[in-house]
Amino acid sequence: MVFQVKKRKAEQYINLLASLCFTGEGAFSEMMKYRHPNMKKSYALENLAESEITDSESAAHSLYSFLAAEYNEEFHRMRNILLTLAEAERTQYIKAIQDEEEAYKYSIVRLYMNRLPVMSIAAYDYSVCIMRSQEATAAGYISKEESTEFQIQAARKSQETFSNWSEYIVSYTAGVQFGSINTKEDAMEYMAHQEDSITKLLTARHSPLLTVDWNTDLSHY
Amino acid sequence: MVNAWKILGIAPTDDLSAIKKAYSQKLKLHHPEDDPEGYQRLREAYDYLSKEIKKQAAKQEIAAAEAVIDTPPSFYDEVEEDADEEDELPEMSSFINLSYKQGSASEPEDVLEQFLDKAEALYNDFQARIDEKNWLELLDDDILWNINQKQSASTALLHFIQQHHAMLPKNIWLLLENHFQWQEFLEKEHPQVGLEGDSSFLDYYKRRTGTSTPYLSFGYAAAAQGIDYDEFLSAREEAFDALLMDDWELAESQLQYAAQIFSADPDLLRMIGHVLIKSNRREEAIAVLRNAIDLQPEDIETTMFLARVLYEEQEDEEASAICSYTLKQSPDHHDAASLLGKILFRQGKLEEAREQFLLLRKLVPFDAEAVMYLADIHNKMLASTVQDGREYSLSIKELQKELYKTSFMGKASAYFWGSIRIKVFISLILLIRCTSFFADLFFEVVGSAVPAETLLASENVGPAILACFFLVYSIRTLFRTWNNIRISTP
Amino acid sequence: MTTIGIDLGTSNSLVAYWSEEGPKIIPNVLGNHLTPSIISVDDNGEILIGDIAKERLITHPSLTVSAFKRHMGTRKSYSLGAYTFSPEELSSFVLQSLKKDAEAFFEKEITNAVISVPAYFNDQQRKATKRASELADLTVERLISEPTAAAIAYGFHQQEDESKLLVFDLGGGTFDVSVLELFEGVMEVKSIAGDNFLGGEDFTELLMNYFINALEIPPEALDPHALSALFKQAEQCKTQLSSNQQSSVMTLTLDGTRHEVKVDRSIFEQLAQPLMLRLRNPIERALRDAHLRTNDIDGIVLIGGATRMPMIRMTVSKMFGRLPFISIHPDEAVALGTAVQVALKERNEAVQELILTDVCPYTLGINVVKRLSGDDYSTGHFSPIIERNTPIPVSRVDHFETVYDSQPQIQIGIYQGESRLVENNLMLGEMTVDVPVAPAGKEQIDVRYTYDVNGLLEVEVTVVSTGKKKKMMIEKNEGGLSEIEMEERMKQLKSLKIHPRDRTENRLLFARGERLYEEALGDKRHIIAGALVQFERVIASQHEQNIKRAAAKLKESLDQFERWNDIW
Repeated sequence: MVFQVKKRKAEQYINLLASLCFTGEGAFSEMMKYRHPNMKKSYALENLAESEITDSESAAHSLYSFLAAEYNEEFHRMRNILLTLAEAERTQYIKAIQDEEEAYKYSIVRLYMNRLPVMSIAAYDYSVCIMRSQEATAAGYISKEESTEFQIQAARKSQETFSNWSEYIVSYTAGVQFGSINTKEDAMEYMAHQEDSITKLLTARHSPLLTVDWNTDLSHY
Repeated sequence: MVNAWKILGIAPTDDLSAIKKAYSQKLKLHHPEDDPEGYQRLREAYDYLSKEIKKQAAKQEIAAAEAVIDTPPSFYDEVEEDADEEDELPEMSSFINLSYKQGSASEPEDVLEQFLDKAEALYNDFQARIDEKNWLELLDDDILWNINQKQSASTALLHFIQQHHAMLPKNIWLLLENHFQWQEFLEKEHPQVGLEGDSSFLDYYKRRTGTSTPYLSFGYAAAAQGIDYDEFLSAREEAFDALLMDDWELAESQLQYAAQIFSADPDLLRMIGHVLIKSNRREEAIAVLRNAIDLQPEDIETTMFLARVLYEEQEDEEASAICSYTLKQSPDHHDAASLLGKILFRQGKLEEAREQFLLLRKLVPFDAEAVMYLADIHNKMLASTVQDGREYSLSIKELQKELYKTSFMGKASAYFWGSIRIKVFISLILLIRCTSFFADLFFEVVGSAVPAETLLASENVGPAILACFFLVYSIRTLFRTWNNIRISTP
Repeated sequence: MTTIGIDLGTSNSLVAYWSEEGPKIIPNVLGNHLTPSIISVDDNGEILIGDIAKERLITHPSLTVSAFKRHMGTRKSYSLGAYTFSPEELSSFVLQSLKKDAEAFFEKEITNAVISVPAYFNDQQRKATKRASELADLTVERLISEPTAAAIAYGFHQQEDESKLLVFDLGGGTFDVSVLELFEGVMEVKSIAGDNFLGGEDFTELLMNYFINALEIPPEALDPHALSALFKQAEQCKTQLSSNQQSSVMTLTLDGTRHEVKVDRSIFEQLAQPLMLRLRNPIERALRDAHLRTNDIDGIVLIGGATRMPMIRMTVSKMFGRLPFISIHPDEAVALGTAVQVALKERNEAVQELILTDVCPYTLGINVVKRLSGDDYSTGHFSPIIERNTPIPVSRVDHFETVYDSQPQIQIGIYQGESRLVENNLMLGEMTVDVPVAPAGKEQIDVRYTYDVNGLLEVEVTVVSTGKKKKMMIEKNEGGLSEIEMEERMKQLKSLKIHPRDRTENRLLFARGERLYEEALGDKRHIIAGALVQFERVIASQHEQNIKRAAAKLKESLDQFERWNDIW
């Protein structure tokens, strides 16, 4: 019975990590209600197709990259480059970049390079990893066992890297702005729609962050 | 191009002017405006033939000029060691025949050698080497004004730079690149000049002049006397390159080595600071950064770095002083606003912390930290106002609005607005009906003479049970509705 | 039909025509050959062009603009009072003014022109020049490069057997070097090179900065008025040092205090050293591309007002070991050359003998992917199709193939520049062609670049297997206006009032008077103001004779004031 409870709690935890990927109006309600990944196959197929995942191979490839926190690696590489430059030189460097998307990415790195609580945006990688695994199962690209393995690994790594929900959420938000958004205008729009969900997550009385312990025991999942 | 002679309409000849005449004649027939294709063909034939003739002429000149070269020489070593040897390469041999029109009696090689001597002298004097003015003077040397000689001087200088694995301030690198375009030259992999290991030097050169390379200061090292400047500089550069590659161990060893030679260089100290932080040696880092700041008190990068470390070490007073000063110098500095906000938050000064994060949000509307901290701050303010009666600049209502809290009535009206909740109405009706049914029953039993046993008569049981079901159902539905409203987020 | 030739310069513009005696300059309404390329907006919204506007650079600097040629082909916009203009629009006003001068001269309508552009102008800049002419209701028959124009103005006189010339054109804003060969009635451009950001005005700026630094004036203390006045002082100083004077003084009054800085020739030369060093590279490049050595050059032609500076002449001598030729009129050579080009185009009998050929100033190519090994690719490489200094008109074709299996399209980026990597070059346009699905490398396309006499590029892509062709005339509009928007804008511009030509002289007197007022102090200001008010009254009377007399008197007084100011 104890294991059942632990298992359910672990599941809750993992799903909550994934549910941070929800965006827009009503995202908070979605996050609150996200107990079981009970998604339709067509929905999963569509979502994955948007990220160019169309079969088991591409699914596995994508999941491994996210598990290895590749976006975080990229963030660090760019950070190292900016670190050696003086402040004025950084501005010049970014101005000289011709590709607008790349310039935007560098400007995000510069924005957060000295401030993230744990110098890492891996929260984004891990949440996406979990969400994608769930979608991939629903779409039939990977088996439930494989999916579970990805999810539990991602959750464990999250716990190892971050110490509490706040750290995780800041890291995730910065990560979304780095990995999933391409222009400043889009970033502002994202935040305009997401601000309430983030605020409520952190402060609402019935926020799932209060009921789900950051250090949930994952050993029996 | 076999047809070339045919296109020009003359017999093959050595005479360049005959070719030109033929071309000009044919040009009238194939005017570029009227017959672009014909003109193109004619022009290509003419260009091809003129080139061939010139090549022949050049070959004859070489044979006549008695320049003795069998293999492409290592041009510059010979220039420096043995000035007597004729060591121009085939294409440049014609330059020897040129008389230097300015009337100076010196031979071209002498002038070149003098130039290289000047360059070497400049390079060997470290204090002079880092002064742009001296290089400008060198670039104004007569040899570089003579177009014919400029190329050989440029190549000679490049070779010198390469051989010495030159350590120069970035602005000087850029100056040289501007004047000689060595990058283009190296990229074409000029084979005749025989520079060994071209590509790695090209990489080195490109790094020195690229936008991702910082302008490291040379002035501090220059002020020191009697140190091995080049060793220091090369170790420092290796350290920076290592950092770029995430090789923290190599970076640390190079930095240590460099520091042993000379340690009063702020760029070096800042990098040492980064390395120490990476391995969590915060106290040492603080000491090192303080040294760096002594050398460069106005450098915001270093002072903010120190502020961050102090914050980690709970030295809030000094950290916040640095942040305030930074914000005065540059009010748009988001790192400073964020750090100051965090310090104030930790000290419980909610109102002031809020100010900082509002500033941050104004600078960067999508800032992740701003959202998080403002939520936390407003939450704490609300709790404190409600429980302890503290007064803040925001009223309870305003705070609730910031936290996106809606009152129960607000939520309820949102819940009912827009959708007709049939179940709720039915439940309400049922609730009233059943309650009144049971109430009637009750009053009948209590108020009148009907005995309890008759109540249990069959005709009353059915409706009673039904009423129970309805009652439970309606209460359950209403309870659920209330809960839904409570946790809803309109 | 009379076609005119126009030199649209950075500082000054001229219009010329071909006459029986050769090329001649058409004077403007004030009788001058040079019309300053300066535009100003009047208080009642009228557009002022030329000398009048030049005066207003001092008095109304925020309503006046100059040197907009440098920004042709860019999105830069200038706001003058209630209006905003693009560089093309500003140029079109200048062209309109010149057109009117020509029409007054010939007493008939003029619709066609040959216009000069710097040899180094890229595709966008040339297109912008064409657009400016369209806005001025002029059809451009030919765009000719400035050094070529200068060379034919010079060479037209020579008619020698053979000579190789180097044309050194240091104008207000750009530096162009061209190597030309003249033989048997053929004038051939062999190569061109230049620096788009080096001109006489940079030397003026040096003097301005010297003044500011010498007196340690903080930049905030200099409002637009002060800057214009200082610029004028620096210009004068530069001119004086270029003539016989060994030294000159710049003066500026700020907040009532009068500042003076003395500059002598050696200081000026020292300041100019970095600029002089920049002159070397384009010359080197032009010679190298022409496969010539300095010895091979028979003569050096100097054009552009800035070549009057002695240090320029000295430097050129240093480089070539000989004294340069001083051109006919450094300021007029280009305009005269355009008139010769008009004659050439019309196959006028007098110039039938001379055939002119030009070259392409930039390398043109496309972006390609290089295969390193197996599946490893490197993108962003530049594959040239027409190398710079290729004689034009020219049409070249190159073949390319698909990179990966089942590639459905090939995207072609059309670039101009000299770097191996496209990221360092200028993109002129893009085209996408569909190709049949096939294994990598099987499908091929032919890309043909045709560069016409005007220096405009047309690209044609043919899919080899299907024979389908796709053509594109490079029309990259930096301004991004659609046709409808263009028409709207044209209507707007047409509705603007340009100051009436016949009243130019008087308007100029006013502007001059205002400027002198600004420059003067104390009592003198009263006198000037009084004179202007009186003149205004006479004008209001509309009595032709009186106005003429009053104008002559005012001019005399202003001339006197000008002399006084200089002595002070």
